[in-house]
Amino acid sequence: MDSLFALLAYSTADFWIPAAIGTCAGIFLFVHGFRMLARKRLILNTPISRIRSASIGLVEVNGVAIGPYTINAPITGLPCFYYRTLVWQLKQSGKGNKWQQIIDESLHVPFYLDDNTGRLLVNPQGADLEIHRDFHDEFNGPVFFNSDLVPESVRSFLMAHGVSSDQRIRIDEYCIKPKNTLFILGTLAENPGLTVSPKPVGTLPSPVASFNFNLPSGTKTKVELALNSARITMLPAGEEVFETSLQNGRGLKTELVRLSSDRPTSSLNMTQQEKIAAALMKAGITNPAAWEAAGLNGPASAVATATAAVSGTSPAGNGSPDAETEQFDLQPKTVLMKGDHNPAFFISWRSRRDVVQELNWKSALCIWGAPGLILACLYVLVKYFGWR
Amino acid sequence: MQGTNMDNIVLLGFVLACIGLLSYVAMMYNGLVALKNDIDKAWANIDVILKQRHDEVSKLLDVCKGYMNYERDTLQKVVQARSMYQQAVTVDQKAQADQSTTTAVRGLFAVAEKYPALKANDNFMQLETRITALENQIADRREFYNDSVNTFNIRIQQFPDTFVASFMQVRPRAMFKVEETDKADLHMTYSAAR
Repeated sequence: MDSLFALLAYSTADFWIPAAIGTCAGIFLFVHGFRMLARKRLILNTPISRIRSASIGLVEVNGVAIGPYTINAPITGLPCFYYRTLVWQLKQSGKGNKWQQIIDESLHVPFYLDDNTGRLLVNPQGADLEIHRDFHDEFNGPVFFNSDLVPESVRSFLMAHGVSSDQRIRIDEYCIKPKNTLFILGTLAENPGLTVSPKPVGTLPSPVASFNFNLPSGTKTKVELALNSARITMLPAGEEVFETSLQNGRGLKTELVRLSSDRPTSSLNMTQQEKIAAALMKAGITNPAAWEAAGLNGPASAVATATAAVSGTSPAGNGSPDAETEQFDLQPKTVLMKGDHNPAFFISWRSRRDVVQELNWKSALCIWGAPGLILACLYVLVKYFGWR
Repeated sequence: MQGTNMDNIVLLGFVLACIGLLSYVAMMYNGLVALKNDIDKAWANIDVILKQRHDEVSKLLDVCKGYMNYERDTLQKVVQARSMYQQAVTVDQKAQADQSTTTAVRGLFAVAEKYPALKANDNFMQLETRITALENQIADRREFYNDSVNTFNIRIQQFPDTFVASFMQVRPRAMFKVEETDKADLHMTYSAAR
């Protein structure tokens, strides 16, 4: 112990800044350790639900990801429901080089989780995502210096973001693909108006903090802050959402998202067939003979079939509509999403047991290791500043 | 001076340990409170489905009476089970009523096989599908309830949560159990059709 402190004392002059950073990091790790422990206990305390009988509130479900619409991941080109592409560039920093993140792009389309008992619409916005990495590579490194080896998909992606492809870069890509097994802990709530559409939506990371308040005009406003992004959601009339997002410091991206579907909301605007279909659905009549007698194609026509109407998207599978594409309810009554009262929302490609095991050792490491780090760093600081 | 620094470091370490311990105890307490309330919520969610089934069974009886005039015993069992549910107040009473209703309805569906006209009736088919779906949901939610109770019982008996549990004076909760008589196979009797 004396030799350890002697070593620390000897290196004080050079290490007071790292010691200060270490102290802050230690405090952060200590708090983070308890957060992970709380999450582990929450996962263990919540039994797994079957989708057909899941109740409103916090639920844990297992299943495979399916859906009518997919988007193509930019690097691998795989059809997926969610992707996140990260690019780092090696830049000079002081005496040496440092990897700096220059691009962080993630998009998603809402997808469904199927556990053979039912299907549940999942909105991954704001979730802590632990997804399998589908692509990891480094380009223009010291060995492979020929920029011709950079694939075309990487080149186009970098060009779209204004990054030169002849720099030394590292790329990671994470995807949720069709038929991927997922474990999700989230809040099952009434659908706030989310409609499944082929249009991809930017995925903001899980917010560090969020605030709700009402403006004098009655507009409900929600501000969510993440590490490098912010999202403001306003609900003036209950049916339209005005979203403004600032991501990666690249400026404001404003988008008006209509929560209500494109289908007519008032019976005055419906065609005769739509009125009959709505009445049959409301009565719970799904007998094909009854629909045929009414001159309709059947209850399947009441839910929209997947069509690829937007460029860059495709029905599940390939670009052209598939005759065997399953019917999906594009406006289900409930959605698995981030709750207002319970912010826990976690999506993982690993099993519940693996998630708990990892949280177990990580939280133990942080809770037991962080105090040691704090104490060691504080000792260095005390020696440097000569505090008594 | 080094001695003073050492004392301060040790004191700080002690303070950190106390903060950690208090946080952990608070976490355990909150966890047990949440588990206790989750059990009540799980039971309430079963109650919601039981009420729905109760309403659907009323409609089923109305449909069946017109076709199964001679199956008075079978229909009577369903009526009795419904009355038992209406009078049930406690969790145990409702569990018993639920089991009786499940058994009685199962018997009714079995006997209905003998009446093709009833089987072809649209209302009967819809009700049969709906009640079967509700039965599956009830079974799932019973399992969920038992999982919640099991998690709670294990947690309050494990170290170190058992200390917090004894401070809170919480006791193990009973699971939803099927009575021995309800596990027996159905004894079906058929009356002659008209």
